[in-house]
Amino acid sequence: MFKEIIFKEDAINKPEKGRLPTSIAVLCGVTILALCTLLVGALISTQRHSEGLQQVVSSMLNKSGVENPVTAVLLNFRSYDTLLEIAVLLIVAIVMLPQATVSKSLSLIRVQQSADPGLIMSSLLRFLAPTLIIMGGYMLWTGAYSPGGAFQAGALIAGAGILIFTNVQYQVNMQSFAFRALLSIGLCIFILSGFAVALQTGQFLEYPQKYASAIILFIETAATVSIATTLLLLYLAVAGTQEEFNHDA
Amino acid sequence: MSFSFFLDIFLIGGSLTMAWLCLFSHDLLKAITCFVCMGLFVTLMWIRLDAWDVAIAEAAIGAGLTGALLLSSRRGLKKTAAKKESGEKRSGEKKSGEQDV
Amino acid sequence: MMLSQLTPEIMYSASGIALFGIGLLGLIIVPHIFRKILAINVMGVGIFMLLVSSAKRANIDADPVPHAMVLTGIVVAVAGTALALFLVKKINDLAPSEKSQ
Repeated sequence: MFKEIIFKEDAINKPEKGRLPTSIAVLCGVTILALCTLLVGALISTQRHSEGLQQVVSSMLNKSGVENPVTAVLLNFRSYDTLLEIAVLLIVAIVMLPQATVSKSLSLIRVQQSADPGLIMSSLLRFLAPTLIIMGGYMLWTGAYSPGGAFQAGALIAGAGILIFTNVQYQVNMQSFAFRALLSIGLCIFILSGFAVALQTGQFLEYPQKYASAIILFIETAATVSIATTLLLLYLAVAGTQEEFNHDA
Repeated sequence: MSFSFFLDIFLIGGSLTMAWLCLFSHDLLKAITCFVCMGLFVTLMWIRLDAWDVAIAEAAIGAGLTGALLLSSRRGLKKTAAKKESGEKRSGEKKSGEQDV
Repeated sequence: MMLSQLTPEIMYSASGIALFGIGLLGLIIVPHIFRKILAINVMGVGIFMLLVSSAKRANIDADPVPHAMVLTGIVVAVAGTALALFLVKKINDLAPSEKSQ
């Protein structure tokens, strides 16, 4: 079965191996071209008659607690989507964790003072990593008023994390309790605050209008931490650079 | 025929070319680079469509993080392939999956 | 079709369909596993483009609901890509090398 899938890089240079015959490839191309032409034709001939949801969103925006309509949709009007998305991220993170065991005694980050990161890496660490983290915090805060929000902030902080942990000097301990807590804190806080506001308003995830802004910022902060940790874990698991360390420990 | 029309044509043509090169060029490294380039073109297209939030997310996640993932994964595959070949030359000493770190 | 009908939204929607087509073609005819993952990503970008360009209206602000959906989609797409790359790495570690078969 593995003969059908090709992993090696130079495999594309050998046309005889695993490639479809030219006639079938051309047939596929023609079929897909016809399909795309049909779709474009359908697109052009379709008249737009619905107004979309823009009017509804802008009329309810002053009740949502934020001024950016996209953040209002993500965290207030359709917060189920975001809740399930964070759950999906957590599931992917659980699949990619190196070991199932957890030990509470280990610290989150191990520092090797003896290792020399090199001039470029150390200067990148010194100047770029703090800038990225501050930029992430700014993105998180400004998401209420202008473009930005939890996902962008999480991606920026994950970028800073990748920069730090591709360095030989610092290693993250995926077995530690703190790492697991950081991974799951976003989903936990989201669900807990969903139930907490249900005590007040009677509906799951329906925020009371007075505190909506504070609740959204609270949920977004927790979600940012989780998203950043998950994206960092995805990179480290795919790169496999920390595997030896995590097996030794 | 205004400036914005030519800008649209440039962005659409660029992203389609990059998508084609990303899938049908011979070198895998070139393909990954073209994928990141396509992400940046698409970021500009989303700014043209007034989707600022999506543009920021695409630049950070779609182009940056996915590119880093693909590059590091390619390096891991190459390393494993080299290890397997060297393991076969010294046949019998070690199994190919094991590491001697 | 009249050229005056060729609004930017129509052009961007058509380019989304074209990106989807290129990705589908690559997914079918390119054998390399890495290219198949790239092709799925290109198809995803095409679908996002179709969604976002359908949110743009001529004179009023863009519809934020498709933007939020696409933002969710980008993050889920990168998680899926990372999972696929991780599985490729695991299969590649476990699969016997070609010469020993």
